[in-house]
Amino acid sequence: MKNRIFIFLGGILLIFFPIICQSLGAYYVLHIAGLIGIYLLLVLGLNLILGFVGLLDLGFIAFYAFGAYIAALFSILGWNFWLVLPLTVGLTIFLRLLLGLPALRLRGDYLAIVTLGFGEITRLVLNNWDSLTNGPKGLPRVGEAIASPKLFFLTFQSDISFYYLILFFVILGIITGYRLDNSRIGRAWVAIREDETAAEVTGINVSKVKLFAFSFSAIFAALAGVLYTHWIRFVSPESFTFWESVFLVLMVVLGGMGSIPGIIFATILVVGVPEILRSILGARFVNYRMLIFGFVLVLMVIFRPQGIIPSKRRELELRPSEQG
Amino acid sequence: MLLKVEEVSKHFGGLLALDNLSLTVTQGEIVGLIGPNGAGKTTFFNLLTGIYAPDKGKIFFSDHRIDGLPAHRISVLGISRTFQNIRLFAQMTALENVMVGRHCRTRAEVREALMRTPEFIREEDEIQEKAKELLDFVGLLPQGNELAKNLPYGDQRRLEIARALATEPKLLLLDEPTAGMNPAEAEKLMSLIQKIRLQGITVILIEHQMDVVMNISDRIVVLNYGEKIAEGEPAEIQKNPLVIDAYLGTGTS
Repeated sequence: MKNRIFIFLGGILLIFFPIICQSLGAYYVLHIAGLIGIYLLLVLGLNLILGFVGLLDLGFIAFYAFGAYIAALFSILGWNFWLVLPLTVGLTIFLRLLLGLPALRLRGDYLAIVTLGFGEITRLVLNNWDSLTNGPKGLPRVGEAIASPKLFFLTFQSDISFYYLILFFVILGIITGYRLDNSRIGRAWVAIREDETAAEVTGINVSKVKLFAFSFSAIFAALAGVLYTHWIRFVSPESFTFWESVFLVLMVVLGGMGSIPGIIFATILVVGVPEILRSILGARFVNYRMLIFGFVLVLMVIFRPQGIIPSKRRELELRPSEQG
Repeated sequence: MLLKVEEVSKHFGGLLALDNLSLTVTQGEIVGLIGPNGAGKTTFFNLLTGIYAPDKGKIFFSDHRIDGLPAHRISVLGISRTFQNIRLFAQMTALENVMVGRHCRTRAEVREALMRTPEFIREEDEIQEKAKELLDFVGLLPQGNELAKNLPYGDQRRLEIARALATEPKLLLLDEPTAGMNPAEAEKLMSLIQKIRLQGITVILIEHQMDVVMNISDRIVVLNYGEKIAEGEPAEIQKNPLVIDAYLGTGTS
């Protein structure tokens, strides 16, 4: 009951937040909120694979890049957003499968190294495949444009409209996370994280379940990419560096692996706070944020390795079954 | 014949862990598997459950050839086990551990889970009910919401049994279930194994406590250096000179 009230109040705040920002003239805050939303999608996706299944994926950002670039390429051709969206998601899942099939045979650190490498290769390809991606100059090229999504009479162009569009997908993502967590598939994911051999012997087809989770998480990355591209209307390889992947992992670890409230909190913290501090302390602060994050992470690992809001397993009512 | 092992061998590098082992187990038996450390008992379990494939030989389980099958397939066919060094899902609750055991007997995929379809809800209730029933069966229902890692040692052993039973096995393999237990706890565990047998589940049991294994087993199989050196009823085994040698060393008289 208390939870319901909390969600209700939170929902109202989220709905009126842009209006409050606008009336205060804080347009910049609204932009940050949209950015936090994009990161939330990415972190919710990474949480499935890192938090639930326990696979250290250091190249998740590559699929964000795929999402963004594929969406940009189709959108430049003049395709409708609502067509580009499922198409991009589908293609990104396919690319994820192609990586997952060989890479998931590896465990632990080896998987981390392969995904890290894949992330960097992706960025380098985007940077150098001039004829397709326009290299470091990014898309769209001069004279081209990414069309704004339309829904009936609405055109999504302003920060405020994208705030709501992103919010919609973030809420979908959160519901997905919770529903999966308390389901047969989600339990299998966590079981694999806890003990792969025991999970396999208990009747879980570990390699199939892993591959599925790995591919499924790409949906979130693709969505984030599509939304980002259509919102900012520009993509370039520099948005998809290794550091971005590290940030995503940081948010999941900081928040608490597998803990949805935790990672949401951590994302707001890691994306939001530097921006606020930048406006207070000036742009030079940005140069120090890595230092601060590094320090905070070291402290976390020592004093609170389970994260800010540790993931809690659901408790169920335990009455003995009627016919003992 | 529930289980038929034909001339199975397995070696790790130069070490011959199992040497031409043949064995049959019939439905409803409790078979005790004993032998000194390193005799190949756990390796035998690992072969039966698909963690390793044998280098040579065949394994049949209720008319299926299972050697070389992946572990999850074997689990679906009806072999389940516990581990010598307890392997629970530490960060999950006791109840969830057992619910995971229902995985291979249930069907809901992601789509059903996301849509919360009526079938999903029904199946989820069923999983919960069955898991509670099993927790109750091993006497852990009150601790159902505890994280597995927080349970005392003896409870963890019983939880592992409950998880194994959740897969609806025909054959249950117990790897030193009383290890680290005091005599009273071991006694309780033995009556639990009897109860499991009464449900028609066949049990193979690796055990070091001789009084325990001699009491409960219908038949004993003795391994030494990967070879079967004796097989028979507990009373015969206790008198078998080969077994006495293996355990106590050869007398010099």
